[in-house]
Amino acid sequence: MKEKTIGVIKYFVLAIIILIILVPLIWILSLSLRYPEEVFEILPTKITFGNFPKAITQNEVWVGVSFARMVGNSLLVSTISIIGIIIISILAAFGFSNYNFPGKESIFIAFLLSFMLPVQVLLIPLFFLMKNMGLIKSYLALILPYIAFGFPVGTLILRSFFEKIPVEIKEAAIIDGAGDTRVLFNIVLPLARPAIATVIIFSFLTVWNEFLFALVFIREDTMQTIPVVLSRMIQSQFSKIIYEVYSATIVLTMIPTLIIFVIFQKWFIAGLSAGAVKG
Amino acid sequence: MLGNLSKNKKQIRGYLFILPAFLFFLIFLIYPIIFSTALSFYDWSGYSNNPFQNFIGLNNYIRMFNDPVFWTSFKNTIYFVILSIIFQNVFGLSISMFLFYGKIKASSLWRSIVFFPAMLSAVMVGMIWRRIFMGDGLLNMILSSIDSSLGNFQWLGNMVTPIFVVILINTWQWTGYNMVLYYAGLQGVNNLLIESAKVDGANWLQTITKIVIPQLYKTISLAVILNIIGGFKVFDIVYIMTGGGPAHASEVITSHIYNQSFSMLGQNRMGYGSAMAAVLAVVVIVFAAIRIRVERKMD
Repeated sequence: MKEKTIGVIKYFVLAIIILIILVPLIWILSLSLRYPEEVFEILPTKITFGNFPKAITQNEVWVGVSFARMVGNSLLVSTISIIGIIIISILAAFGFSNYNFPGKESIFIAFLLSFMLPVQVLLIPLFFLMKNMGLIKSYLALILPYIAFGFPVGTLILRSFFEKIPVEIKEAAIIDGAGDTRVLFNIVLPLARPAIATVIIFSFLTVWNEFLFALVFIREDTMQTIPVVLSRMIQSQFSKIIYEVYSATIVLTMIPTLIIFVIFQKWFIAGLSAGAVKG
Repeated sequence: MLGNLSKNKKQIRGYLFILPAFLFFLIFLIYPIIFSTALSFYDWSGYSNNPFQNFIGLNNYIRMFNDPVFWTSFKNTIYFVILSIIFQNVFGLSISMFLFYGKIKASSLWRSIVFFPAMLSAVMVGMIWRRIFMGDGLLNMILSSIDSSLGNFQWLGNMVTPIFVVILINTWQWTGYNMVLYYAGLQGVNNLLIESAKVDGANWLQTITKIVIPQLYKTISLAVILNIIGGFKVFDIVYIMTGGGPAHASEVITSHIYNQSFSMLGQNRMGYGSAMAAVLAVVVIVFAAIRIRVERKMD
């Protein structure tokens, strides 16, 4: 009997925890399925899927950039940034793990400190750097800083993985006449696939969700990424916000994150609990 | 080490491999830090071509000490840091122990759900919660359906509650992250010690405080440091939920820097923004250095 009571309490507590997480998400989903006249009711009497096409087609009128372009911007910026982060992290991690040179550990720690610095601290100088380089109407204004602030985590994760690869494997290749670059490409990289995947997934998450750089560095409405375009919906203070379309847009832009999370959740949780990361 | 190269050649190769990273580091970190530090001693609106015309010495720093909004933002940032530490760690640790020791069915599914908000952009999280805490949002709808005299409170439109609402929402987003850290930590806790404590007649509270928590010492220090750094950095969620308002009541240091430097309505005081940024940078670097020490000890 007592065990039964504990069991009931246990699942009651669990239900509360899960509800606290899910209620806001369910609420926004529910708003996205409503007719305009029921947006300020707790429960709707009827539902519609008409807000999703509206979110896709009317985005341009509403926030000055089409839905497809907005998603395209985010995809483009994320993809190129991640490629840059991966290449630079692999090279740096290989340098740190395979060679000894004066100042190695100091440089490594300086890299680590740099990604923990609040980006707001460098907002002003970086903006003028981009402006003087003539980049504020180019995607590079985002891609370059994303690489700069993304490679330290990548280097950290990859270095610790590279150092776990047994020296014997590398030495065997060298005896067979392989040079350093062949050791990197033929031995280290194939073994490091899980670590590289972690870096890709983590970088994607950071870059895809990044807001402040995207808000300040891109001075061209049609080139802005999803978070900035979303944020403009609440900034349009002078026009009435159409909440059912607002909610539908949120739901639509949440779908990629949800899909990626469902597929890769083990990687995320492993990558994050490696302790290396939190924006 | 690799190959039959001379020591010098090997060193040069090492430098070559880290060169691309180092160039990014120089251009996008070191140069901006120097530029920003220098700028903090000048008065510059951002419009003239030469930032370094009006040298004003320490005036930007003096202005900071006399700026009531800076002190509000400082106070709110401290609230953010302290309450984030308390909420995220207490909830994160409790939920992880609940799922780890509670013999809950499908516990990995529940873990994923609690973790999910950490995947979303703070912009999206803020926009979702605005539909709950705005005057015409869900919370007031529910309150007024309970009693028609309730439901008129402007949760984000007064001088006291907005910052705490934002802190709660930030807690909602990041508790799952802390839970995952603690869950990983719990897997390293020695179960034999727990069993023998039970045999010795310890109740569950004693077991947790005397056996489990001491063994989580490293995870706790890491989580606390992450919360401190995260708290000082917070910007997006504040910007979306309140924009620092009303009348700067919910301003944090980062939003104050942004509003002073880039807001369309602000006065674009780049030098002043840089001075505040310098102070914030020093604070965070101290904690970041502590974090690196903690992590290195964990390895």
